[in-house]
Amino acid sequence: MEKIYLGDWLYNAGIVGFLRINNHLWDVKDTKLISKDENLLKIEDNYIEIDRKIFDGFTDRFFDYAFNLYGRYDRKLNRFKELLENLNDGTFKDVYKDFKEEVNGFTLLKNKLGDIKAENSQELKDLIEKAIRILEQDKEEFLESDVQIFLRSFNGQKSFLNKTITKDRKKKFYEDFEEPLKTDSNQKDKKFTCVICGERPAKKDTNYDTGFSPVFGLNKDAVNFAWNFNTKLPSCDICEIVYFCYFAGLTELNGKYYFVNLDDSVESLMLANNLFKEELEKSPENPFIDFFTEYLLRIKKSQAKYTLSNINFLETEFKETLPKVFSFNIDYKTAEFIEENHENLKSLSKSFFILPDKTRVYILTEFLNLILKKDLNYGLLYKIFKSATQDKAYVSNYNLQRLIIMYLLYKQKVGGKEMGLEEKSLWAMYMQGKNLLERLKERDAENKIQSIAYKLLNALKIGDVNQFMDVMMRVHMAYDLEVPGLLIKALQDKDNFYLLGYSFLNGLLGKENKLQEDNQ
Amino acid sequence: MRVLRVKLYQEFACYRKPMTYGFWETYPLPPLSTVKGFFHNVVEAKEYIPARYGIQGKFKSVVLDMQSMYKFGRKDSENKGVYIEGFNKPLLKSPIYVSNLYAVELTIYIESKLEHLEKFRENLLNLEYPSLGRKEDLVRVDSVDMVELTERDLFEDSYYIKNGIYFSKEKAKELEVNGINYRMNFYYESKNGMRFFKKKDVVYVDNKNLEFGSILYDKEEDKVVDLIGD
Repeated sequence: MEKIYLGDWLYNAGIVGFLRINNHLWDVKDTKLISKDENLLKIEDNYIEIDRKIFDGFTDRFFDYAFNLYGRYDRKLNRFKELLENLNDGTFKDVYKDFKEEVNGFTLLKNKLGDIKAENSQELKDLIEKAIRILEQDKEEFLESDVQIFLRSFNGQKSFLNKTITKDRKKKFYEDFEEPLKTDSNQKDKKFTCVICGERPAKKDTNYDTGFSPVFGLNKDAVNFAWNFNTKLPSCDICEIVYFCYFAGLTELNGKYYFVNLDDSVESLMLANNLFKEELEKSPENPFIDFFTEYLLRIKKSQAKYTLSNINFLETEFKETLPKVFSFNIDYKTAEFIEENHENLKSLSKSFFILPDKTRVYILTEFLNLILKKDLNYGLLYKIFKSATQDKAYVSNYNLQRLIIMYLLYKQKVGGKEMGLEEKSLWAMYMQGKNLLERLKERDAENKIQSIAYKLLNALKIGDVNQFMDVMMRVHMAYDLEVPGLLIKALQDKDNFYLLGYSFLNGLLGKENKLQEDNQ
Repeated sequence: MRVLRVKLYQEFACYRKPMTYGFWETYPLPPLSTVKGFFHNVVEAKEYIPARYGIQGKFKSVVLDMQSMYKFGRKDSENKGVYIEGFNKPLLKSPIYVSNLYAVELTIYIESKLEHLEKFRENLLNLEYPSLGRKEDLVRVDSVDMVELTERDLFEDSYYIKNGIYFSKEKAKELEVNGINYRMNFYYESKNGMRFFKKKDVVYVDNKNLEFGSILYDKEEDKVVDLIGD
């Protein structure tokens, strides 16, 4: 068995890609990555272990994966069928133009089609039908050619990707990789061990450089980047094929390719990238924050806070040699906060409110967004309460209170603020709000709730402590209630004021909001 | 057991993972080979000194930086950078992403022959200003002391880990803790002008309650210590 350990991001992408190409050998059950055949593939914490028999049939799997990822063939085929359907005498000119555009840039098809001249719709129909026939009959040839075109952008011109190879690419791949990998018959370099794994002997004349991937960043000229000015970095056949699979570990969106890198374990890496793929398909506008929110909800336990503070997103484009790196830069304290409040955050996952323009805003996503941007302000609470007064907030009072408490914990933990407030003070204030609600009900004054809430909310919006106090005093006196003593704390500090104020309002709005009840 | 305890502080640091070029990723704490290199450098070692190292610490945040690096390029008409005679290559600039740890507080324990430890303490600030990680990642030396470590029975007296720490894989198993597994460079042998590293499996843990087994303990600093090495 050969061990393949996690390493740099490109290598990690290679491991994810290698697993995806061999997806018949593993399964995800209850967020666990499980091997279906431990004789061929074992999945451990920071490495996978493979038997060389795993390479049996690898050529087909490798080509099929790249072919599907490129997807040009299917797109063209469907497009031609579509053109055929739309074709009639009236549309001839337009369809003809479209057809020519589709064929241009698809050299192999163009060569096979020969002359693409059509005088009328019948001739064009024959031509398109011919194109479809050729595509279907010679699928294997198109597959090989497309894979070569596609992978050249990722891997330079090694082996079957070399420009001089114009046919039998699969055969070349089989001879260069599958067969020798399977039988362990690659010629070994007697002098060197692989510098990547440090375990296996290096494959003869195989060096780790931009020939593995242009995004890698080291070539034989950049000698000052290497120890002792020596850019010769011998590599073994297993590490070489892992790097060769990195394209399959990436997730595509609009011609750009993404990879989520983290240190945790093979399992986390694999699941995180699968999740990112899902999130990209769901909401391509803001995949990072959506991914992170979802990721947070799914991880049962993170191995270390360091993971949370060190998730990197890498973006590469065709022909770009330097990947773009996005990092979350969550500081240690924030990571700790997120970890400690995992359950509270999770409880908010389904809660949302609706803005006047009917956009649905998920509270958890928004809250995390503010935390990650280091801009946790009370505007979010205002928006939620504003919607709540209009029956447009789908969040239970209990969860909303937990959100307010998270504000307090965040201010204390990450902001390092001594506030003289405790969780129980906020709950007490919440209960005070509830008391007022009960009293109003007893006195048949439920219709007053809206206007009181509105006035309090307004005072909270503009941070006007005096106005808030004024309303509180008058209401409490009018209904024979004691003014909460905790309000004194609100006078001392703006943060206290907001937190106590919103807690009170939350209690007051308690059972008023029918939609919230439904949600509970 | 008597060991040397070194407390260091770094404003920024990148403990670069091997084989990272376009994007320099960092380990959460300096890896074994880096600390080992630091030790050998400070004691001006002429040959390999067997030692064991306990590495732990914390940082405030990870910051991604973009830097421009000088890099030798190919000699052709396009490359008009500064030309370096001895190497027959032009010098070019190339952008690189670097992950930096910010505000790193390290506590490193070293166990070796007394003479080496004493020399380390003596030399630490006498040589040029020490750095750990990259050359520019200077360290502020907060203290260097000989300390006595005792064995702490975790069954009787559990311990909560608050900072990051590397455990050897074997120790992590004994203590029944999970964390991030790293296969880390340990020491190298130079062959044919190249370095070949022997690796060690370590587990990085930064928050866990230890309740099983026993471990070395520094009472003064209230820190558990795992010494990894020869």
